[in-house]
Amino acid sequence: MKKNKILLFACLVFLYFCLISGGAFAKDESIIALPGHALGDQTLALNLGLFIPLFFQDYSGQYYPANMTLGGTGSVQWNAYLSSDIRIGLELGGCFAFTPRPDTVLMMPFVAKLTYVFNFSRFEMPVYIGAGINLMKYSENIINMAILVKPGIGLYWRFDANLSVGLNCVWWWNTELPAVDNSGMMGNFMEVTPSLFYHF
Amino acid sequence: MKKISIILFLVIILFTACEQAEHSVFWAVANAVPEVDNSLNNFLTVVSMVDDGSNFYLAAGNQIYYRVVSATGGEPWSTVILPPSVEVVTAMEFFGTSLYASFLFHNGSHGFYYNSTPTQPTNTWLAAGGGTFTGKQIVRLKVSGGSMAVSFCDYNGTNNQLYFTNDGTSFFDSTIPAETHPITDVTNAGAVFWAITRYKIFSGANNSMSEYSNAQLAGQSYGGIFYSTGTYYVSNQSGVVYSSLDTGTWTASAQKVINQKAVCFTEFAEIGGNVLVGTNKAGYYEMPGGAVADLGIPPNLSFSKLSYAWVIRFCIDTVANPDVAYMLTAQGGLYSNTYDGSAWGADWTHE
Repeated sequence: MKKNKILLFACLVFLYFCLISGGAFAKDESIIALPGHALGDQTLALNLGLFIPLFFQDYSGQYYPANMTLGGTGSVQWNAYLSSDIRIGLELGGCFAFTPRPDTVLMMPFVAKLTYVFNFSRFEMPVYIGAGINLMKYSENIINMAILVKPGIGLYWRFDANLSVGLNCVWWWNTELPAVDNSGMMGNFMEVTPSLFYHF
Repeated sequence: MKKISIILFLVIILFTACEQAEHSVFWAVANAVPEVDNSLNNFLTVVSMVDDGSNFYLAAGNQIYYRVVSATGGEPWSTVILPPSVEVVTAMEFFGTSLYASFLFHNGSHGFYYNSTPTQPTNTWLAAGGGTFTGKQIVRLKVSGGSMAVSFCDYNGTNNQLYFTNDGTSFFDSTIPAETHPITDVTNAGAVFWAITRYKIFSGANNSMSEYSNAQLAGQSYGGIFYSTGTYYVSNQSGVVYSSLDTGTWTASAQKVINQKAVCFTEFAEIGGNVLVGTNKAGYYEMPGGAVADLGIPPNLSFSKLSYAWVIRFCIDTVANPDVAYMLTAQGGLYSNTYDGSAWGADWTHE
C-alpha cells in the first residue's frame, strides 16, 4: 500500500512538471518550452555515483558472488546528436571497489554509446547502449581487459537550454579476455549515477 | 571523422599492445578471502629465519624475534635480547648449538657473535671469529654440508670473501679470490660446495674453491644456487632457471616475463619434492618434481600480496613441520603456507 502511494506521488510530481512546462508532450507550443535538438548539437556530461557489484559467471555457466563492497564510479562523456532523438557519443570512466582481503579493484571503461532520447517536454529519458573495453586492475599485479557492454536508462530534467540534471541506471556486462591460466569470467555490475549534462 | 579514426586507431593499438594476462581479475576477485594476518609486522625485511628444533628465530631490522615451533603457527613473537646499540641484524644462522648473528652497531662498526641461550633474559653474546670489525660486513651466514659459510662484503667492493667453519669457533678461507661482488648463496653436493656472486660461480671443497665456468651459464646475472636429490639448480635475474644432473649440461626453463619485464629470480628451497625459487617482486615460482620445464606460479598465489613481494629466501622446518614453508620478504614481512604433498593451502598466512 505504501509503495503504491509513493508511486502515485511520483506520477503526480512528474505530471506537475510536465504541466508547468507547457503540457504533456508539448514542445514548440509552450512559451517556456526549451528548444529541441538537431543534427550537430553536442553535449558534455559528468556522472558520479555508486558502483554496485552484482555477480560473476564463468564460461561453464556457474555463478559466483561478486565478492566486492559497494564502490564508486564516475565518468565523462561527449555526445553528438544525429537527429532530434538520436545521439552518439564516447564515455571514459573509472570505478573502484574492495574485496574482503581487503584489496582494491579498479576499472577504467572506455565505450562508444548510441542513445535514443524520449522527450517529454522538459523531461528526457535516454535509453542507450554502450560498447567498448574495460581495463581492470586488482591488487597490485593482476591486470586484464574485458569487452564491456553497457545498456542503460536515465531520466533527466532540463533546467534550461544548456543544462540537464538526472539519474542514470546502467548495467555493466563484462566479458574478460582469457588469461594464461584460462580463468576468465564474466562480470555483471550496476552503475547508479546522478548526472549533469551540458548542451551546446 | 578524423577524431573517430584516431580513437579507433588508439583502441586497436591498445588491443594489440597488451600481452595476455597471467591471471583473471574476476577470478581473483570472486575467490578472494580475508587474509589471515598474525602479529608480526607486515613491513619487515626478514633477512633470515632459522630454527633450533624448539624455537624459530627471525632476523629483521634491529631485532631478532623468536617463537615456539608448532604445527599450527600463529603464536606471538618475542624478541631476543641483543648486544647494546644494534642498528641492524645483517645475517643470522643456527649452527651446532648456538645462534650466530652479525650486527651493525650505531657507531658504524660490525660484530659477529654467537649465543647458546638466546631466549633467556640474561643471555650472553660471545664474539665469534674476530668479534668486531670495520670496513666490511657479513652479508650471509648459511649452514651447508655440516659447515657454516660466512660471506663478507667489503665496503670498498674489492675484497669480498667467503669463509667456512666446521666447529663454530675456527674459521678458514674458501680460497675464492677477492671478489668485487659478495658471495650471496652457497649450497653443497656432498663434499663439493658451490657458491655464487652476482656474476660468478665457484665450486670445490670448502677450503679450496675455484671459479666454475660453463658456456651455457656464461654472462649470467645469478640469483641463487641449489642442490637437491641429485640435481643442481641455478637461477638468474633474467627470468630463467637452469638445472643440471652433472653440472656439465644445463637445461634452461622458458624465460618468465611479467608485465614485459623478465622475472628476477632469487634463492631456492625444496618442499615435498617440489623446488621453490623466490623472485624480486613477483612472489615465488615452483617446479613440481624439480622440473625446470614446469616452472610456474603456484595456483591461487595471485590472490595474495605475496604474489608481488620480493621473496629473499625461504625457511622450511625440515624436522618438526616439513610441510610448512615460510617466505621471507623485503619490506613485506613473513608469509607461510602448508604444502600437503599435492597442493598449497588455499591462502598464504601473513605472519
